[in-house]
Amino acid sequence: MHNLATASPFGRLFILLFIAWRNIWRNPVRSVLTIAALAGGLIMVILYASLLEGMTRQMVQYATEVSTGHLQTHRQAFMDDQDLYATLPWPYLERIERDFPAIHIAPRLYAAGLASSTATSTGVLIKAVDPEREAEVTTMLSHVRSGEVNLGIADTTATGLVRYNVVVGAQLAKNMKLIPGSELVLVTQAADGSIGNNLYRVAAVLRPLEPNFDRMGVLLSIEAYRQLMYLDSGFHELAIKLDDIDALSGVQAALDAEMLTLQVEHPLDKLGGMAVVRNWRQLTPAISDMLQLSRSMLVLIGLIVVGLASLGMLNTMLMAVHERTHEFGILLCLGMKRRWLLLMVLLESFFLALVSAVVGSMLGTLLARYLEEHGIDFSASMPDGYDWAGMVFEPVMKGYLEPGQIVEACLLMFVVTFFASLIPAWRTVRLKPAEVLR
Amino acid sequence: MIREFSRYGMVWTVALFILAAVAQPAQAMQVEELIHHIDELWRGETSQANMTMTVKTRRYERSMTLEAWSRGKEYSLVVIRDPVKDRGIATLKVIGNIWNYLPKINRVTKVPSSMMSGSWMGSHFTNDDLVKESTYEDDYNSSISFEGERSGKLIYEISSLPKPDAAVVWGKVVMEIDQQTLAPYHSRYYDEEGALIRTLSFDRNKVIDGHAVPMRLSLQPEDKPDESTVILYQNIKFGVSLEAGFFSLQNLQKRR
Amino acid sequence: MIRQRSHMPLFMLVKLAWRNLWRHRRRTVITLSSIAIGFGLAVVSIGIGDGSHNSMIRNAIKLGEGHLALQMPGYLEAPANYKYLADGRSLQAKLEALQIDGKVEARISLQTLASSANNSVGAGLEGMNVISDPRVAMLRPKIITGHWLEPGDHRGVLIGDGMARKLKLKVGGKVVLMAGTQGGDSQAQLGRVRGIFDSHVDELDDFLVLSDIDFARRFLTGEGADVERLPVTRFSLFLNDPDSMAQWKGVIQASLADEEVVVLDWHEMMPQLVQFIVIDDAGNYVFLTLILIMVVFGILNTVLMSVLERTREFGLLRALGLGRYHLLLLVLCESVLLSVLAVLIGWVVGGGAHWWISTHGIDFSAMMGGEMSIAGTFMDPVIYTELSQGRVIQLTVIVFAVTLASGIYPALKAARVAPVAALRT
Repeated sequence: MHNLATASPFGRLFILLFIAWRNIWRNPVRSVLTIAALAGGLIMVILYASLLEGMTRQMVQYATEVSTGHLQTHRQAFMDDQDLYATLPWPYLERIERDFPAIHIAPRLYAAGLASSTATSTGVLIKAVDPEREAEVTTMLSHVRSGEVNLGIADTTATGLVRYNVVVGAQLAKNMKLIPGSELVLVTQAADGSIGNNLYRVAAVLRPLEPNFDRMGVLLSIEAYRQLMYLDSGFHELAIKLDDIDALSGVQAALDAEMLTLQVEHPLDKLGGMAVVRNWRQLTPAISDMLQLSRSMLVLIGLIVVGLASLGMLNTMLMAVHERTHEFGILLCLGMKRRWLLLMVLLESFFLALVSAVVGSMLGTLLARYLEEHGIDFSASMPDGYDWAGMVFEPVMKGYLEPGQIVEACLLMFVVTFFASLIPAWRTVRLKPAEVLR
Repeated sequence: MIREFSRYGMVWTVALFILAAVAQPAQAMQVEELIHHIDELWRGETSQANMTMTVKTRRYERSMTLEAWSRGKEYSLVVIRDPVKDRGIATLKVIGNIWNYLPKINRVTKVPSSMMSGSWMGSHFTNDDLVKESTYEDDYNSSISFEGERSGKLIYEISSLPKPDAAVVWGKVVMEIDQQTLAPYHSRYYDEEGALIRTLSFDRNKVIDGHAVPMRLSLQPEDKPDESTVILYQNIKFGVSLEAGFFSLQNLQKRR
Repeated sequence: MIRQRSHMPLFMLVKLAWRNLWRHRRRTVITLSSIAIGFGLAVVSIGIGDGSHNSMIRNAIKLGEGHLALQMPGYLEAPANYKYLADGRSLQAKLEALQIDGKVEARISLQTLASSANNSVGAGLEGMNVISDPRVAMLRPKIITGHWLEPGDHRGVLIGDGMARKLKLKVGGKVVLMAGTQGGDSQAQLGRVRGIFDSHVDELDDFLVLSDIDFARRFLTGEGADVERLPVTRFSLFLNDPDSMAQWKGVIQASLADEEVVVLDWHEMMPQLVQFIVIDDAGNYVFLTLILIMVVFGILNTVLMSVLERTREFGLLRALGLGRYHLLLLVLCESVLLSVLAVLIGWVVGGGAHWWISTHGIDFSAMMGGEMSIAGTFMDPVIYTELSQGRVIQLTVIVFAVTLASGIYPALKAARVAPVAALRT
């Protein structure tokens, strides 16, 4: 105590640090337990944050990778009425491909038509894609239920008519009794007003992914579409995928600018409207709303988790200090100033928190990494995945760890332990040595 | 579905009505008799015609040569002769059903009722126009709203208002027909608020079998003044004899 | 040394355990409070989860086809106008004879084309009883112009604002509804728009046409039905007690075994809703697990520490002849008492919170921006917690088991105390 009293403030601090550190290890078991509790709480918070982030990203990925892509561009008239003639010229595609080498793009064309099989006829939505480009942007063509995806020429009939392959949705195949190899007749209103008609062969049936396509979707190659519809002026939709989703807003802005430039160089007809670039949130606001809601609820729950962890820490700290009132009484009697006692208690808490932070961060990172790789597997209870907001998800919850989360969690723990230690510290300040020594 | 196609309701049937109606000489008539006469005339009358249909829309202009046969308003067969690309495409109507024959793929497809609002052969007429079963007598209350001279011709103006329960979308149909020949000049279709939706005009009258028959029909949508469908008859014959199985699916495929 | 086995009656054990707990009052209180709060939070979060799901289900059922539906076999897989129940009258009589605890509503669903002077669109015509059908309560508040249908109005229809826009229709306007029959002919009926609704659900606003059931029945007549037998597309049953669904389904299936109908429950009719709830529940269980882990930590900390601190005391007790087994029991008893107390207090906290929220509800509308449509149904912005009996038992058992389990290790440790070594500390 003499040293303490005579030392300079800095020296005093150093001594107190030393004392505090030693104090912790006087009762190693209790300290270890306390550290375990604190570290445990920290790990919970880290894991929860990483699960939250991982699930959100997973949902975004599923929302976009099946058929939407991260961005899409259309003409205004196509967005409003599905106007067949509201196309973007093919030169736009080439320019965008040249100017944005880091993104993947896939053009699409649409039409409404009538499909007939031997069993029945029904209205369908015809969608034309470029199979190679499409595979880089979406996974639509890989979710096959039966047959093999092929959009090329199937064969030639006896009369010399060329038949292309098409791919249909599962529900449509069921309603029209189509299997790979079946013949399909498509009749449409072609772009020049005539009746577009042709024979096709069903090459594959896709698994249910998107309810609309599933019920009435027929997939063709762009070449087959042009032969049916006599529409050569361009494409209706460009789907875009980015490698790095965090760059989304930047790329969208750049594309907006590109579109403006292109429309000046190659002006579009007035009737079709302007070209508009939208991101997946704007394209499927229902899904975006749902994700927002889920995230809000999860954050709420996260706060509760953090609160619980903090409570655990508070509990631990309080107990650790309460049991030492006798000891504190002695120290005060020996001449230790109250404020040094306070500082010592706070420093002990700090050290405990520090060790817990180190331990917790390391373990937390390890576990979070595991979650990133393997995730929580629900496939026992839901082998086919689940259908949520019109998408089909895989039954595995994966985590996603951001270093920032760890830092935030540690900071949180320090703040909480600080406040937690204030309570017992305040109590020690109010201690009356005479009372506790009894 | 097939993108928006304006509905032209009674137009097609009216056109064929009127065409048949003029096979009769005119007398001063009460409106009920007039309407009944028109409705009745339709039944059982056969015809054969060659015509050109020119469709002008914002997006394309197309001209087709067609050959058409009909019996009354319940049976009709229309075959495209020109352009070569579409030659042989045929539409068969039997009462409430429509089938298309497509020679390129050698298949017959039935037009389901959900596609009835789709356009017929790319024109401003719809499949539904061919099929509509409503008649003036059953579905409208008609009256002669004007009798006299207009634009140098003596006309009857017949205003037909749909009966309260009639399944027709119009608010009013106004026809102008010649007092002497009963040849029509115009039919105008209004919605319930009185706005003119479309006009069907008849001109180029020619005398066939002693009667004045308009050889040109023009369908003009009011909201798209630069669009129209014009049917120009090269020739029409009435009372042609058609075999019993003429309006059938087998015949549909054979008639190229 | 005389080896005596000291015998301690259970009652004394418990009393001793109790006293031990309260020797360190603060520690016990703190532990109890943290467990209790954790438990309370678990109760509330599960309650909110269940409350929101049940509200969605209730809305979906009211808006949809009820808890149970009777319709033609094959209708669910491929709906068609001609798949109707021809003898609605006798079916309804049979259903009424069963005295089902709930409502039986006749409904007609048809696929039609709706045309105005300006345009045509595909439409789903739903004919129902315009007064008693539960759909009325859901959709009537959504009318934005005009008014709801009056009973006996055999011409009036209600359309959504999306359809009104596409067809350029106003209240009072004419809409012709056309449906193809199985024979291939088409039939048309005139409808007058009495009111326009805006439900914020696109499928309804763009495609739904509502009418009195007698209006829709005219189309069935065109399909060959005899109007005297009151044909319908389906009967929708709304039960007063949703838990009785399985039971009533069995009863109805048995009594209608010889009729050509199927009895479906809402799980079969609305699979996407079922899946949404499964997923949400999964999330809740993950959360519950997290809470339990925290609880375990808390208990382990307390009990283990207290055991470790009493090594000397235990050594003394063992030296005095208390058997290992009894020592184990003693510590275990402390855990049990702790668990019981924790659960009780937890229920006070959680139960109190649940009572408050289930009466006042939590308003989520800030987060959701008004009423939201999810998975084809509405979620009310104000959510009330709901706890079923099953849940209560589930939660209690889980927490109790967990707290008990966390007491096992300390108990074992206590039992292993070697008297001589312990006394030396």
